[in-house]
Amino acid sequence: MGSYGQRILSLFPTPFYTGTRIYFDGDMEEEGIDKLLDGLTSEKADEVISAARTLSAVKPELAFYLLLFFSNNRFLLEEGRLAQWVKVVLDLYDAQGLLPAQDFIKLGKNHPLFPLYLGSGVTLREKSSILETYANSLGKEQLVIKEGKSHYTDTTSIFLPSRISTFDDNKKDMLLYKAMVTHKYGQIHLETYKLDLGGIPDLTRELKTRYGDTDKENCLSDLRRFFSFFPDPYIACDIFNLADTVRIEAWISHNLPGLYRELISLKKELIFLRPILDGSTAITRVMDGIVRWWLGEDEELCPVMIREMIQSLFEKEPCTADLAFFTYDFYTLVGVLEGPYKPVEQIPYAGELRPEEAARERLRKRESTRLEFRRQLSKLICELETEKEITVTVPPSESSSTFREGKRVKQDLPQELMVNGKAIPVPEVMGKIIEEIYEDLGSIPSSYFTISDEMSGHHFSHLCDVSPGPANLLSETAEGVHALDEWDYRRQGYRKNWALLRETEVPDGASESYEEVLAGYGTLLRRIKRQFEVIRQNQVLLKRQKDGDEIDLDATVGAIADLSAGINPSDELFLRLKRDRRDIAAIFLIDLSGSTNGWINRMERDMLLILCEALSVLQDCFAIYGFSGNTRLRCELYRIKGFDEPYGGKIKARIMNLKAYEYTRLGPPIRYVTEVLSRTEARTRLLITLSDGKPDDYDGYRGTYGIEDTRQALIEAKRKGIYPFCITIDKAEHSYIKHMYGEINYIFIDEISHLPSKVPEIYRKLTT
Amino acid sequence: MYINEKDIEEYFIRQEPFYLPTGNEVLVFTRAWENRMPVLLKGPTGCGKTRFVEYMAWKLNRPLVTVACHDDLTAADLVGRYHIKGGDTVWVDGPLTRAVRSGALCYLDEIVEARKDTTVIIHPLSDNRRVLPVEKLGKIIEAQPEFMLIISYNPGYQSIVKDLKPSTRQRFVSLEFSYPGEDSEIEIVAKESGVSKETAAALVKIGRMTRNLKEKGLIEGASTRLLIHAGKLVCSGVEPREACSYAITGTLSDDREMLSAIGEMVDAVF
Ligand SMILES: Nc1ncnc2c1ncn2[C@@H]1O[C@H](COP(=O)(O)OP(=O)(O)OP(=O)(O)O)[C@@H](O)[C@H]1O
Ligand SMILES: [Mg+2]
Repeated sequence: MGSYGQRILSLFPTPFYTGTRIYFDGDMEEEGIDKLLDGLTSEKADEVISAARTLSAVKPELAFYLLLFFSNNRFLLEEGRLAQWVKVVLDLYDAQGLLPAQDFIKLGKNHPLFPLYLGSGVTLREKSSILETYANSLGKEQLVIKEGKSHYTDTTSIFLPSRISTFDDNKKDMLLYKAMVTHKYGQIHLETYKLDLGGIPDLTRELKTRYGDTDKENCLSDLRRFFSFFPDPYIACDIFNLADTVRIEAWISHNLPGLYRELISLKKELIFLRPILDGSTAITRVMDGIVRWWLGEDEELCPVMIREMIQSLFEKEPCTADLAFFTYDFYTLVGVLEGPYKPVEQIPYAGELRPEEAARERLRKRESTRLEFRRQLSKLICELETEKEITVTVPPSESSSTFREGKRVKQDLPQELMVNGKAIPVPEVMGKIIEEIYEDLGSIPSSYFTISDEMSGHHFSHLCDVSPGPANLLSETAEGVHALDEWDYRRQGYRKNWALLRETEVPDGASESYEEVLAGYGTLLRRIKRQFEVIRQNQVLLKRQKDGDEIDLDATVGAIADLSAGINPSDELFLRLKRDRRDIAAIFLIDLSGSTNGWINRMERDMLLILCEALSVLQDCFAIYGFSGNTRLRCELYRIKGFDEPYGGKIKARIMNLKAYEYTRLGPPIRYVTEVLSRTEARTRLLITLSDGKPDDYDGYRGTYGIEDTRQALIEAKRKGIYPFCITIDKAEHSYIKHMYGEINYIFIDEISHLPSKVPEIYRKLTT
Repeated sequence: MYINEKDIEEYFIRQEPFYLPTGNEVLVFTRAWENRMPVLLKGPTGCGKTRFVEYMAWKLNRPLVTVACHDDLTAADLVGRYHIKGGDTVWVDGPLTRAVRSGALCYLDEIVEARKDTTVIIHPLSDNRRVLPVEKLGKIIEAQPEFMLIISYNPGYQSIVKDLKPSTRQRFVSLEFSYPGEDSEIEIVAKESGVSKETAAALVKIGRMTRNLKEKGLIEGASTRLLIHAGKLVCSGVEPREACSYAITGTLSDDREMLSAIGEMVDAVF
């Protein structure tokens, strides 16, 4: 037996199956597995065994391969990066399965993915959130950072390489990321992709006269169409990109002087990374020379005339149309040089121009704004409940022309809409949408106002209805869908964005009436209401206070007596009314998993009705959500009552409409409502869950994993200052429950029919 | 400390406070005062509400009584109560009563923080009755014509628990405050902290960048007040990036990645 043999063998079950063979008792020793760590100091061996244990908890084979191919990964141990490596292996296993993870272990440093995850330099994975926040701080636009094969922006997303290891210094690599993000923000902010050829008819005419009519009118983007006028569109594109970079750097120098300073020195270093051209044509050499000069290299590489042109571009804050003129002039100068042109390497932080992507994104945004506009409009009209014939227009404004000297003039946004000739103020949400439409189109197209049949009463609900078929998985980017982490106890770490949760409203309009149900609980309801009434009036008169609302006569008489007796009187002479201000926000999270079908579900319904009645006596702030799910890719959260929705007929109808759905995945809904609760400002924040037992979901959420994740979610809630309390109606043994919910934070209700009376009572006790 | 322990004379503001108007708020406030209407100031923290009221008190030459409301503030704290003095019980006016009697401007800062019963007593004062019933004295005090009630309120936290009731809110002329425009804010920061125009401009830039992150990771961006704090540190010799990290970054968030991101923003500007 090897030095660490016992501990190694304890990592594996017997018999132990791998893809290729079965190890029975003694087989491991025969293969020498127990001796694989011999020769390591006990400290180092501890580290390896603990890594192996983490892997083994998820999949014993992973630990097995770690030991088997240990020599290939030993360097990680020396570099102190074994734990980091384990995380990568587990991520790979989660994402792609056993074989790729096994390969990754086997090949060590030589695995093609190794440099990506564990190579030198800076990775986008570790920096994307910082970069995204940084990008969003630059302006009002909401931007997303994404990994991409090439570097560009479609004006909503900025695509960046997954890793930068250009320099020896990680700080400089990060700076390059930052320069990339800032440059792309510049393109969005300065509207590089919004070239409008309609605004510069003179230039298009001149281009046609000079180079012939090669106009491609069906181009998706005017920028692409502009390039296509030139005999060599590639040259035009590269000139334009350079000119755009020049003006963006001018913008940076004015607005982000700190970054600009760092950028100047970064540019100098980037020169050395450019490939040396040999045997190129004159035009290629000149274009390369210009880029080199712009990065900071010797002046003779770039003709004087061009230097001056670029310098003046840098100084005069050009608009996008000016860049087009510049490109034209510049092309006339260099176009005469000997070709053909072989596009030179772009400035790394400038990346590529992708006019089509930007145009498509613009159309997509336009379409979604249009839908949103019409949705808001129909909502507005529904609320007005006017007659059938409706016409909507924008009131006329003073400035009618949207163009002046080729530049789009910002128009005043309408503050009102005319509905059947009556001015209606624009609601705030709609104002934002109108602003977007004006940014994009300059005015609201009249088609947006067309009121057709689809816009009548049902239209709104029709537009809002997004419910997919039961088997559908959620998409991370869909509206109302949230990606949440889950706790994996085996690795003692989170699986990032592992579960997708969607919040939807429970539809109202149930067949059964709630009046009947409530009437059936008449006596109970009266009793509970009375009890809650008492809490509300719970006022205590504190005597002998230093100050207060009223004189404490007893004390005063005493004091005066004291005084005349020559004794120093007490100054505690007041009565103070202590009203217990109930500063409470509570969320009830109700299990709607399949196992609650039938009786339990009915009792949950009844309980919620009674609870709501009771809570409205107290005027406490509360919300109710139901949950159910089907795998991590579809956790459903049904909003029964939001914090800001008043309790009334609508909510009652929703409660009556509750159904049992699928599985019990508790962690994600707890995490989500924890967020909702922590946004409230109440002093006491209460999260009450009602569940019928063990966490259970289709994809391995049952058993320890689910219990531990639920437990962790509750711990997170506590850390955020929320008081979690769990009610369980599990019939089975409940030894795990204590562990999952924490000793004092749960209660067990075995008689389901007691739910309607018990839950309000629990709430009352918790909050008084 | 109660107000008639001090002479109301002391509540006059003798020196012109520095206030840079950001819109027509001075005019609207003056008209409201002339028409004996109460005013509600809405706006994020540190954007100049308190300063504005001080300025208006100076301009209208009225004493200014300010009460910072907190969740233990009772009606008696505002109206007054009996005290024992020299063996007798004597009535002592609260700040509100004193302001009502002497025709002062009374500023209730962050009114939503106060206990609910306090908002009720300002109701008869803030409609056309303009009276303050003092139950304990069995008296109804009529407000002097120069008296004006001003309350402030920060709607930014979107709290569900703390919100002004419509019945309170609809009694007031409301003035919406937001952070000053870029140029004004630069001037304010420079003047208040003593830094150069350039440094002030950089600080304001950072402030505006953090405000872009509202609802994109931050609850609130950096207020004018924070920028002034950072400026003061710079003025007394702290290196600008460091000053920002103490005065701004750390106060906005505890999240590690958010802190790094704000650090990147500061580095980009300075
Ligand atoms: N328009 C302005 N003119 C002059 N100074 C200003 C102006 N706006 C803000 N300030 C400066 O900002 C600082 C903070 O303003 P102030 O204390 O008035 O904020 P506030 O709106 O009352 O904040 P809070 O809601 O937190 O009480 C002031 O000390 C002042 O220096
Ligand atoms: Mg203030």
